[in-house]
Amino acid sequence: MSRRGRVVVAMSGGVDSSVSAALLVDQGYDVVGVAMRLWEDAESESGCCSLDDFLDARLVAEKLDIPFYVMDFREEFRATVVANFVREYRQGRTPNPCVRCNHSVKFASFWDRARELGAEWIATGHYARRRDGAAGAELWRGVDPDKDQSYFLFSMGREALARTIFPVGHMQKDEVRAEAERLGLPVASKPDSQEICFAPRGTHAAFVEAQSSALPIRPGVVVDQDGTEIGRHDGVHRFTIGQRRGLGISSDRPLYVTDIDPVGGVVRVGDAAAVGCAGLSASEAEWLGEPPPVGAAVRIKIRSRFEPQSAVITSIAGDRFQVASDRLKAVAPGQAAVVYDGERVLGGGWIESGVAARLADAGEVAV
Amino acid sequence: MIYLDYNATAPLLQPARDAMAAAQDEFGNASSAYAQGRRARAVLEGARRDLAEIAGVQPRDICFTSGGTESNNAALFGTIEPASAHEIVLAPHDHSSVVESARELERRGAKLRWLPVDAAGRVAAAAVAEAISESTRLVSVGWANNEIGTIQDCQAIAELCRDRGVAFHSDAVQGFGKVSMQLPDADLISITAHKLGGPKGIGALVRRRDVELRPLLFGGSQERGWRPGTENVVGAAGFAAAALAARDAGAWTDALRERLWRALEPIAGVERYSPAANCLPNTLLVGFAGLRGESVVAALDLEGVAVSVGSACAAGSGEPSHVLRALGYDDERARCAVRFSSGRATTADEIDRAGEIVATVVARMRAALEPAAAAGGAA
Ligand SMILES: Cc1ncc(COP(=O)(O)O)c(C=O)c1O
Repeated sequence: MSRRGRVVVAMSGGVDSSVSAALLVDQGYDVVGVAMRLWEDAESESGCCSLDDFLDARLVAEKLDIPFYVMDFREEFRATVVANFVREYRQGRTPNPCVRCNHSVKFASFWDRARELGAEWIATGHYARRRDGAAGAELWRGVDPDKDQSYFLFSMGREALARTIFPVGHMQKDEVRAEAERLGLPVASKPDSQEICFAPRGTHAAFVEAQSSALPIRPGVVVDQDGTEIGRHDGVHRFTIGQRRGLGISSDRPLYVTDIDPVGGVVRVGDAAAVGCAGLSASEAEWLGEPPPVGAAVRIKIRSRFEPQSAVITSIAGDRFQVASDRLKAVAPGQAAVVYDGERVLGGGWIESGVAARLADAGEVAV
Repeated sequence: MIYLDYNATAPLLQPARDAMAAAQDEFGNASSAYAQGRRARAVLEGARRDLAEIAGVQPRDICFTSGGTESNNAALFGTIEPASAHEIVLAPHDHSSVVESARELERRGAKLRWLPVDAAGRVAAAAVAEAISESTRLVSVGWANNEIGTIQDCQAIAELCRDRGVAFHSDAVQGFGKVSMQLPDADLISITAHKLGGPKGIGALVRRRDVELRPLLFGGSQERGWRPGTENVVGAAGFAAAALAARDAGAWTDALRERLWRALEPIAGVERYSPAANCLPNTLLVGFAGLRGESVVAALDLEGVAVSVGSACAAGSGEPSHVLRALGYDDERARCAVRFSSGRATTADEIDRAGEIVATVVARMRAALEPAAAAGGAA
């Protein structure tokens, strides 16, 4: 038995999780690699969970001389992540499957399976840091600002966090690649994957349609801010708040999606000013420690490619909260709203709605 | 390390190793006309004769292949003319190299007729009789199932197929050497060397009573044109030597299987799938309620016990065992299956230690998932 105890590493075959496993071996842990089988697509040979990725992960495990297993999580993944993804898009919302996966699969089922294998710890290749503070484990941004993935982890839960190691969270991506090179890992130059594993970029609409045979998707109309019909569309699942491309409307000024009404099938568009927000309200809140008090000055991140912006907590009630901020644009319901105190993740929730600028000015907002 | 996955493959026996080392020196192409070729040919034909004698068949009936998978493919693809809607009668829990070959033939136009199996994995001869129709060209029923271990009454099936004038194929990969060294009286029989302690990558399709068979491969006259390609002399020598050693080791007994079961039986939530009678003497398929087979296999591996969730072909796929599903178990139960399969070299002491380790590991796995004991609950 090793001094540091057993850790099960989620190995995807990518460079981050491979280096994570290598670092843990160096640090004297009893390391076990597990590749998670999440999804399978008969057609695609690439993307996550492909045979090639598992082979890469296996090669790395062999090189590190650690036990390695492929485990099946397809049922959980389909029932939680994929079902949510399809449902959300159909309701005119914009899901984030990676956050859902961390919540429902990686730091839930995977953590269970790791404990079955006698693990005291689990590890992933996320760019995030765990710090053990006086009041328990804290989640911090990864040190590489371009790669930070703390946003995806807000709902991982405190108990799982206390038992999770992020070996590359304190490294820059270049350092991780250099480390992979130094260790002679066969995946050192593998490109990053930024895709949703089951629906690669640009294919989400087709995916949602393919998964919707039981309840066919309805077409609808596109209207301007006054409600005048200016076009038609093939289903609300094709739209995201703030979206500019693919509206199928010719206009002399740029138009953005400002509202989506899934019941009426109405997509409303307007100019850039119309997508500005004065805040947002979120539900399904989860906090990694004490929730911040009302009035707290925080930073909020409302989608994965978005720098956290200053905001003030204006209400917290049950699992809902609201923030005010004049720096938010294109607040998309269904996306995660993650609350930071500086570099530290306090928690977050799922966006229910943006708070329109005019209403906020008038002080008419209640939770 | 306690190896209990002999149904996946067995370590190479010393006599097989020796025979192969000697055969390596005969580098000649067994089909060549000069002395080196003749010497290689002599080794090959010697192996064929030995194997034929051990298996109770004629040397000319043995066609060497690359193993059980190829033999099964050859038997099905060689007898079925998909375009003419030929029908295959087969068992749903047989090895995937039979079942998936049949499915491919179905995609090309053949008809499949699936035999009913009972919860122990048995196929009744009467059910075969009932399933055979005018368009049936082939009946395929494995001799012994690789996962659950159930042995079929192939003799009865062979007789009724002969009466009905239908070709009968039996996948005897697991049965050969464990049920008996004498092959059942089927028209086409698949065997492989590595389950017996011979090398991987050599097997045979035994063809009795000249059933009509089209080859899978073309381009040479080896194996009487039926399986072209330079002969695997070394493999054949190893195969025959392993079969000889298996015969000399004598008959198996059920003792180790039942000894293991006595050790596992007290474990809470354990369920035995392998029948107590008419079952491979080395095979015990069980499930531990609520624990996925793939996790049990991994946890046991970490403790030095090598077992599997069933067929090695399905390992890592997470698919519930197609065998248990065919026997009427639901996916949940089928996902819990764990197969223990011992070999000639397995000792009673190893079985006892394995039993203890399994009990400890299962208890630890169960405790890990108790909410109170959890170091941290799921998020
Ligand atoms: C019943 C059965 N048939 C066929 C095979 C395939 O044989 P081979 O590995 O020689 O291709 C196996 C195992 O691998 C088996 O258990």
